[in-house]
Amino acid sequence: MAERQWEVTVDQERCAGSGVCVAVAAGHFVVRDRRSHALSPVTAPDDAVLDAAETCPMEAITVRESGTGTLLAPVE
Amino acid sequence: MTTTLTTGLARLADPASRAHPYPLLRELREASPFTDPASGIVVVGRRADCETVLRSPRVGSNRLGAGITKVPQQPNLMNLDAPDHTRLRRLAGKAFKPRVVERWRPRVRAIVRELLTDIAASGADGVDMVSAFAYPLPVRVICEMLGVPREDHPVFEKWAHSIAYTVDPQLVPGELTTEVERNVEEARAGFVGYFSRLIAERKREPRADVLSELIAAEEGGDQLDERELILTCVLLLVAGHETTANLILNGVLGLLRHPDQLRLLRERPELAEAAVEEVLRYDAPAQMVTRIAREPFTLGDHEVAAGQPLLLLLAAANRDPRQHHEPDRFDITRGDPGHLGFAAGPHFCLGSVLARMEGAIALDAFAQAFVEPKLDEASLHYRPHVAVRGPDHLRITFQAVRLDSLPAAGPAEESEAAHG
Repeated sequence: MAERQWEVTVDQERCAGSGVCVAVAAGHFVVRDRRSHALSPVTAPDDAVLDAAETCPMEAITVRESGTGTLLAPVE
Repeated sequence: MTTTLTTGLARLADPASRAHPYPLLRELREASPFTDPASGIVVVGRRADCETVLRSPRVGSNRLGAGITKVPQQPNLMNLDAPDHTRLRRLAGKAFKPRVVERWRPRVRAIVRELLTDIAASGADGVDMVSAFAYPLPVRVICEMLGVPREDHPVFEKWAHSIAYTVDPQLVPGELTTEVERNVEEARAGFVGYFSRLIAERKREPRADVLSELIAAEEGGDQLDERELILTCVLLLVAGHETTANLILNGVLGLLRHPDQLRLLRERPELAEAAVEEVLRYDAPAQMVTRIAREPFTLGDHEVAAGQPLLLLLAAANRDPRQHHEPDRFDITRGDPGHLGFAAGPHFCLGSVLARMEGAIALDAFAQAFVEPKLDEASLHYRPHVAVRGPDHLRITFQAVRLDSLPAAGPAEESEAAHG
């Protein structure tokens, strides 16, 4: 079975547009109008996206496994 | 023109500019971007250019050995690039996430109340806000978070001031720094010895503090080595000492110099968070940062060469009229968080959430508690540091301190012992 895709969301209320995610996970995020946006809301697994969720200073990024909805990052 | 600009950087380096740097920063911003012929530094002052550089993958922070700072830096979160930077930031950032910081709110309120109680109890009609309020608050908070015993706090103050010099750019080539260098060396040796002892202690007896968490990561193997652990502790401690104190002091100063804004904050305490944002814009504690070009790129019509150092004048960018309406006006109702007070990009301030919370609680308490506060202008004196800029003396006079006007104590507002 193929590896499950990941769902990446950026909470627009929490996001401060710091752009840490753009630097940490190049190609996955873009800052537009002072807010970050996931370039592909569904993506192939890539540890850089987990790094982005873990280093987001506002905890605005969430990564879940597609289908199961299991939270992959951030972890407490 | 060139002569004027070179003189401009020398004037910026001059401690005499510390109290009122903004006319000079405006000149430098309007002339930027340009390469300072004496130092070879690219000076960047416009808001859009600063943001471009901060977010650019062509620009790095690893400026170790590049001679940009007055005193050579040691590898830490501020001057590493990915992947080391990402790894350390993941570990160190855990303690500063919104959910974790929020748990400290009652404790921050309690410390503010303690400090104001002491000021009231002194019976004096004036106080130095640096030593009695703005400095002890963030120091106690960061030390409690890290797990550093309170009786050890006094020894850090001088060391922290010395370490803060390591982010000062070398604005004037050949500027004499022997004494500063000696102090930095002393502070580094002091901190390394101190934390080595404390780490050994915590390894025997872990506690619920950031130090124990970082030690667990170090002992876990490949996440963090002992040197990184010590340098991370030093960075968190120093950053926690210097920048937040300056945020509070610049806020107090802004409010005292704009009595209408102070009145507004007293009448509408819900503006405290917006007031902090305005202080971060109008009079940012972090006035400038340095970077290094990894690859050549063009900034406006200015060519930046690979390896060229860059000086980003964040305090100038924060008053760029292209971004902010009437930028030289202090207005806590601005509701415009588009400042670079915490920079941007991979090195966006790790402690921004904590700094915002401490700043808002402190400024709200200042506005509510002091009756008829007045700035003693003659007492105002700045530290010589140019990048992390702030007063080392700021005396106010007042008629009374009203503790009953402070927000009610939270349910978790317990004694310090509970926090170790």
